[in-house]
Parts: sequence; structure tokens; C-alpha cells
Amino acid sequence: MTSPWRPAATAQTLCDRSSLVWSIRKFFHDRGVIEVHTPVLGSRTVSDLHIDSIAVQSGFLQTSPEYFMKRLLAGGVPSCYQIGPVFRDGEVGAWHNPEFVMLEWYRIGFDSQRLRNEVMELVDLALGSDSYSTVTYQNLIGEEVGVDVFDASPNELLRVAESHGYSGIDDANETCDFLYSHAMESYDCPRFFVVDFPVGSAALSQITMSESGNVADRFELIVSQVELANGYNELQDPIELDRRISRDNRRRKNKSKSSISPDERLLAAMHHGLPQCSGVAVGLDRLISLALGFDDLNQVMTFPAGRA
Amino acid sequence: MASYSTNEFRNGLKVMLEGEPCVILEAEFVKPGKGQAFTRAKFRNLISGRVWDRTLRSGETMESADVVELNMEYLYSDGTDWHFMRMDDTFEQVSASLAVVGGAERWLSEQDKCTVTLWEGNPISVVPPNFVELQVMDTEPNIRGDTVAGGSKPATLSTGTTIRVPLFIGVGEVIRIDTRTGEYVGRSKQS
Repeated sequence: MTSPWRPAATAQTLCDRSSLVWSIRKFFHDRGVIEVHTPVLGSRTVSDLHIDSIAVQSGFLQTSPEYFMKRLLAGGVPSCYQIGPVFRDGEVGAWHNPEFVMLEWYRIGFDSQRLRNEVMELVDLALGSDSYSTVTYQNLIGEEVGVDVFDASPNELLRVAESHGYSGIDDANETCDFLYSHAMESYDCPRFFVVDFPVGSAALSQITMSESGNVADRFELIVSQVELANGYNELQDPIELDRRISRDNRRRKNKSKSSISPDERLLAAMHHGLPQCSGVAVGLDRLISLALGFDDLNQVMTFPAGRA
Repeated sequence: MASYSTNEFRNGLKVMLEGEPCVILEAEFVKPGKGQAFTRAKFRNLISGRVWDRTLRSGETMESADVVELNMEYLYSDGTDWHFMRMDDTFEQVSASLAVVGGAERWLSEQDKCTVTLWEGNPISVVPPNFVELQVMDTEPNIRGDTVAGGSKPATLSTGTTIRVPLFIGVGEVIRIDTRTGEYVGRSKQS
């Protein structure tokens, strides 16, 4: 490791990174998607069980610009994108850093399929063209580990997970998270979308009917085993959002995590009316790392954890 | 006993897994689809040598394993146990069964310096020196005309083990062996 005062990325990498970011901005400019800037420091934060916000005296460092961007859309702002820093406490690894750069955009009037098409165009722009396949959450795990996550008993899920090295706890949600990560990494396809997530993992996506019953209209894009994008056909119903926040808080309580106050301003914006839209978040550092052929984030970041 | 949280995992850390001492070979942070964060790690069982893949919840802790690696001198074998002595001022001795010595006995001569791994004070593995020099006790005599490169024949060494040696090696010669591959590397410089 080079001296800790030095940037982790080389000067050449930062030049390449700059060109890529410029071409991404042009991509959106050419499509009439405007760039916006929303606060990094907000008074509220997300209630997701597994996302830990960094709390500071005057609020929370945002884990994604989602809430603010939805308030913009409800306030009449057209389709928009943002490139900016987000924070997730405790996430450190080859493909994780507690602070990273998110590329997030919202498309008014798009369903999730149409947004996935745009995601492919953007990823092709950065990584070069390739084919993409699409698999449902249920079939991905079914094909890779041979268990139907929508049908199996918690016991069966645990048994299958343990046969693949799981030594976590007996909790059906966590077992599914493990099976998903395992299946995702062993799925033999360089670029693929996972769609139709379990309703319990809907976060802020709409629920739709599928052949296997209700599923979340949510997708993830996996490129070279790395989760690159997470997108939703966005939930518009504030009452349902309030229910999900309460459910998240019950789950948080069970895991001895602090309760999260609902974002009343987001709820008010949704009561006013969020236009039908789809939105997606791309880990920009991950995209750049893959584009430049690296195998971790450090090599494309100026000052990752440990140097920051 | 100290314990380590998954976020302290690093290569070489020795921890207890399912009641057995293991060394961490690699550890990776994974967090699938906004779900539970895990640490996926490869552990080498220090007793069996087997590699175990395990995925733990991030933040979970593992007890550290009381494992030390010591340079020890091989003293002698009584046929059941192999005896080693610490090379520091303590001159403390330990004895290891054949299962623990695990193949190292093929190469060991008295006074060889070995790496002995102790778990809670008891030996669990013995690694011989990378190179040893042993005398050839028995091998077929060199046959006239067989100077062809590449030919080999079996030879029994002073430790009782048999390896393949070049045709020109004769009884009484001291040869050098790479214990990691179990192969002849040359004649001893001393002989």
C-alpha cells in the first residue's frame, strides 16, 4: 500500500473516471433529463432494516437521494438525475465503502421495463455493448440452489442455506438474503437483471401480480457478479408507504435497532401526488471500476475508508 | 479468550469454528439486495487441513483460537510418538502422534528444525524443513551405459521412506529433497 496521504486511484484512473462521468452527464443531457442537487444532510432517513444511516447532530447523512428527488417530482420537476455522495454506516469491503457516489435518476411515465432498457443503454455506454438476460428472484434461486423461496418452509430454506455454508441465524428473511447472494454470484451470465422481488423486499416499489402471486416491481442489475443497479416502479401511495415504515420499525425493534421517524414531508409530497415514475440507483464507483477493468472500488476512489 | 468481530477478520487470523481451530484464508463483505450484511470467509481447519466456506452475519464474533506456531527441534521417535523440543530457553518438550506428524515423519532426522503448531499447548501439525538431506540406504546399483537423462529408480532413505532418484545415485550418498513436493533435488553439497 502506498503512503496513506496519497490518493488510492492513480492520476490516469481519475482522468478516465472524469471522462466517463462526463459521458454519463451527456447521456442524460441528450435525453432531456435534468441534473439536480439535493441535500446530503437531511432531517430524516430511510427505515430499511439493513441500511444503517450515519446520524449527526443536525440529522442524517443521506443513504440515497430518493426522498428528496421524489419531493422534487411531486413538486413538478421533470425527469431528473443526480450524481452525489451517499453514506451507509459499516459497509466496508472490496465493493463497499461507507461513503460512495450514487448515480440516481427518475423517469416520469416509465414502467420498470422501459427504465431497464435505459439502464442497459447507460451500462453499454460505460462498459461496451453486451447482451442482458432477465430472471425472476424466484427462478434465480430455484435454478442455482434448487429451492422455491416462495414456497419452501423456513426449515427447508435453512437446511438448503446451511448446505451452502450459511452459518447465520434461523430467520427466513436472512436465509433468503443469503441464498440470493449465493445464487447471484453463481449465476452463469455476465449481465443480468433480477426482477419480481418478494413483497417483503419491496422497499419503495409498487406491488404487482405475477404468475407466482404478488411480487415487488423492483429490479437489480448484476454485472460480473457485482450488484450495479437497483430500481423500482415507484410506490405512489402514501398510506402504503406509512404502513411499510411501521413494518420496518417493527422489524428494527426485533433486531434491537433504533426506530426511524417517518419523513412527513415525503408523505405530504406523496399525498399531494407523486407522478407515476420509475427510478434507479447505480453505484457509480462500481460502474467505473468495472468499466476500467478493476476488481474493487479502492482503485477508482480518491480517498476510500482508511485514507479519508 | 479474546474474540473477533467479522469486521476485524483478516487473512491469517486464527479462530474457533465449530469447535476446531481454523485460520482465515480470505474474508469478503457481502450485502445482497439491500438485505442482511454477511461476511463470507474461507477457513482452513488447522487439524484436518480442509478448507471450509462459511457465511456469517456481519458483526457476529468468533472466539480466537489459542494457536501458536513454534520452531522446534525434532528429538526422537519412540515408535508411537514423535518428540520435539522448544528452541527457546524453556527447552520444553511436546510429543505428537503419527496422525499429527501427518507425513512429516518421512523426512525427519534427529535435530531437524520443524514448525510445530500448538493448539492450547498440544501439537496439531508438524511442518518439516523445506529441504532435508538424507542418506541413501538402498537402491539398485548403477547399470553400465544408463547415462540417459531423465531415467529414475526407487531409493530407500535413512528415514525408511522411498523416493525416486536419478540412475547415477548410489548407496551411501546423501541427497537433498524438497519436502513440499517429496522430490529429489540434487546431491548434497556436503557429501
